[in-house]
Amino acid sequence: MLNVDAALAAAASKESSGVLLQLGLVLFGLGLLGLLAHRLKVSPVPLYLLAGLAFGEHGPVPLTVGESGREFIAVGAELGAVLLLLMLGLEYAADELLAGLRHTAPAGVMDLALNAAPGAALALLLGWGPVAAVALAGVTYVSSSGIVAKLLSDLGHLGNRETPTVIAVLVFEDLTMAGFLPVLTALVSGLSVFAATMSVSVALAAVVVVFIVAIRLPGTLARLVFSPNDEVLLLRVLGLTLLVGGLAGLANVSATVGAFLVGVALSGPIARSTAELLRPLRDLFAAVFFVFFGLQIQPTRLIDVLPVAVALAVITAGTKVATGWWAASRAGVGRGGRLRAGVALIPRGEFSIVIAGLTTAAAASTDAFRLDPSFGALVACYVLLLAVLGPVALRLLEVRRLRPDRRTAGFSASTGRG
Amino acid sequence: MEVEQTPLPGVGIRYDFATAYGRRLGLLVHRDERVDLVVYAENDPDIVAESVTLQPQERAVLVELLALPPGEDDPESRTHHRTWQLTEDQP
Repeated sequence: MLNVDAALAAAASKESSGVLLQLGLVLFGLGLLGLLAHRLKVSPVPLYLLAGLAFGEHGPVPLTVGESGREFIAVGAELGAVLLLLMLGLEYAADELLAGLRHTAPAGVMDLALNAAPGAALALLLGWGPVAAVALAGVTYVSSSGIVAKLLSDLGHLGNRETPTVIAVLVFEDLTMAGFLPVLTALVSGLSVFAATMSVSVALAAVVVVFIVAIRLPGTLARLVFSPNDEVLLLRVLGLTLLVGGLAGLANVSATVGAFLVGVALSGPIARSTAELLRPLRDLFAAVFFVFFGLQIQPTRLIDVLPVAVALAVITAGTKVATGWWAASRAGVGRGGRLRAGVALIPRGEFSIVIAGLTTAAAASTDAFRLDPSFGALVACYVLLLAVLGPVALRLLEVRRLRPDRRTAGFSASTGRG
Repeated sequence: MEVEQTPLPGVGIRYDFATAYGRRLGLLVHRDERVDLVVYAENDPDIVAESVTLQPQERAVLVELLALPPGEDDPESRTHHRTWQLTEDQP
């Protein structure tokens, strides 16, 4: 009897060491990809997706992490989505999100109309049904605020005239996500019309209450979780976020919306130090999330969807340029700035994957609706294209602008002007 | 004089103005209190031509120099002067 126990224990520890080994390999590999992304000055998101594709069941390097390893990756991925939205909420204070809303609303609505329509239209054309149409509309609508913000900062565009317009559009999108995610969650969970309306109403009411409290009584939540000790602060904020996210999930409201609202409710200096503490954790689990999304995709499907993804990418790059052009011209920006604003909005990234991840996870766990197996592959291919080509396009624009500039500088120096 | 103030959610606040000679100058005050002094391009007032990040003490020095260039012997001065005479060979 004792021998059997000992043997079982030995086997268990062997298995857990095996899991550690595999996870270690995965994370180390991601670290190398992250370094590559850093060197090439591109977003690591597409590389993590590629890693997921490679490690998948049908990929070139199938990963056998066992049951417990797979569970860890699945839970880690969920945590990644929650942390992505929490950090997004922390990024902006509630009053920042609402300030100037009246002024920027036309641009935001134009952005929504122009960029959600192609995704929805394509899903309907392919006969994927209305739920997939809503999801794909979200995928093509949301620009990646992470990629865009980093790009503007890296290129030194933060001071440019068109930048407030670009940021206003991104802020409007993030606000729209707070309304969009509960609707999508209700749709994919296959609730009855009544139950779906209820859960969406609950979510929207929660959004309104959080905004009112955050603006009327600023710092309430911050005081509640504040601690001068980093460790205590980290555990409290993370605990609170998971509690709220879990409750939201139980109420059929997306856990990610709960996390976003916690982020919005925290503001001021505490939000900033919390963001600083959470960043490494977010980076780790967001990477796991992107890999997890890639894992579920059959790489061969990517080739099948490539022409469609390219067409969708070209069309929605065009609609983003049109959005930026129109919004910047309303703000009185010149032609060059209008083009820069439009091109800056092209990259899609983390939130497109969050939307697609939510949809595929729901389709896998309930049989409420049937999702076409190519959906995930199309989104992955689409994000891979725009997360890479969007930033490249803006850099090319910069190069083109600088060339004639240098010539005039040489000219003015040689004539002794200035 | 009119100074434009533009909030940049998630980044900070931007202040900028036009000089009498038609150039645009601005400050980008980040939320973490980092400050960028930005100069807009001569041929395109929409785009930043040069951006210089300033530490707090550098801002103080710049303010002092701009307000009233202090004398070398001013004990209040935060700047450390190294004045080169015209007749000396400059390094």
